[in-house]
Amino acid sequence: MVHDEFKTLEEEEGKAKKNTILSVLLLIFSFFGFLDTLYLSVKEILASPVSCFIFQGCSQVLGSSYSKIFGLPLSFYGLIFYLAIFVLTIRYLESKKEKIIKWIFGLSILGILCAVYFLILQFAVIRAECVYCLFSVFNSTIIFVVSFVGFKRK
Amino acid sequence: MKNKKLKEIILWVVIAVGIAAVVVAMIVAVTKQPSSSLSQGISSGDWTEGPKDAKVVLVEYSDFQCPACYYYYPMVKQLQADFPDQILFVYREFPLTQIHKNALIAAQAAEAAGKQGRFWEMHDLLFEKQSEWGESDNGIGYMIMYATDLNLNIDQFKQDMNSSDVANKIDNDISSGNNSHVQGTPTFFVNGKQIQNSQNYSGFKQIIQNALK
Repeated sequence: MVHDEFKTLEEEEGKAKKNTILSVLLLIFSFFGFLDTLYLSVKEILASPVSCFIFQGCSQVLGSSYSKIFGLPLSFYGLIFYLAIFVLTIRYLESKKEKIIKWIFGLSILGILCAVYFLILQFAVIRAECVYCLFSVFNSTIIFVVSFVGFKRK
Repeated sequence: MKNKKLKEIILWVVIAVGIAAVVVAMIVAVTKQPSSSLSQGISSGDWTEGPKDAKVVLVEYSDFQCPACYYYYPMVKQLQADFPDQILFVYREFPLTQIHKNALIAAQAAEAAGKQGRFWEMHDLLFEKQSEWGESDNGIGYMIMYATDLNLNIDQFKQDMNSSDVANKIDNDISSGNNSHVQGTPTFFVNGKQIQNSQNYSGFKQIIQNALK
């Protein structure tokens, strides 16, 4: 009996540890995403071109009619998205409230849907790729996978 | 309990300050990007369009295969149409051969067409048909086809494309671009100063208007 209880405690500890690792991953990738979209947002506000590398389509992608929704550039929404994931993850680490995992997972679904949409836009519609946008797709994919793992473990 | 609350407040204040610091650092980093100046003035070897005594000299370092250059191509045309007597436009070769397999032969083709007095016609044709020849495995074939369309002497054209003269002109442009800190294409210089490419036509026009003041 005592032995069993001990095991559960150990399991609990293991679970908490794994959740911490997942949270740190979320923090890292949401921070990367935050930097990426912040760069694009600042460039947009200053109306200066981004330093395009690897792919040469930044001007086309960022200048296309798809780059804005409700008059605001997509990078602004991305910025809010990554900031929300970042803040929620810290909130989770601090409070350990399980429902926050649910929120993060919900947000990450939204993120991955947008990422897939942007990927289709860049490769099939605009036919130009922008490294910052692809990096954002990468980040939101990782965030989705990590929060999916976290959500399933719950 | 009170202590915990205090800790929580401190944590969030630290995070908020941290985020604000990152935002400020990004703004500083972006605005501090140095703009460089043109290392080599306009010479008789340059391809120019517009009056020689124009008030604004617009130099473009460009790659015929680069999608962004294609994007700016109509903007430059529009600028030339809007300021016919005030802009001297200069085109310099900056083929990004590592990422664009046909960029160099396109530059050679334009220079070779120039030898027969048709540089700008080839320049326009290459941009307008970029999607056709850009990723083609038969880039040379397309160049010869365009040369035929422009009624060039094909034997001469082929010879010129591979001539050391054309190679030197392209190398010279690339090195003057490197000396002017050109890092990508297109890079524009207005009266010798590198400009930040604006993402739309009105921004570009504004830059020219400012230079005219």
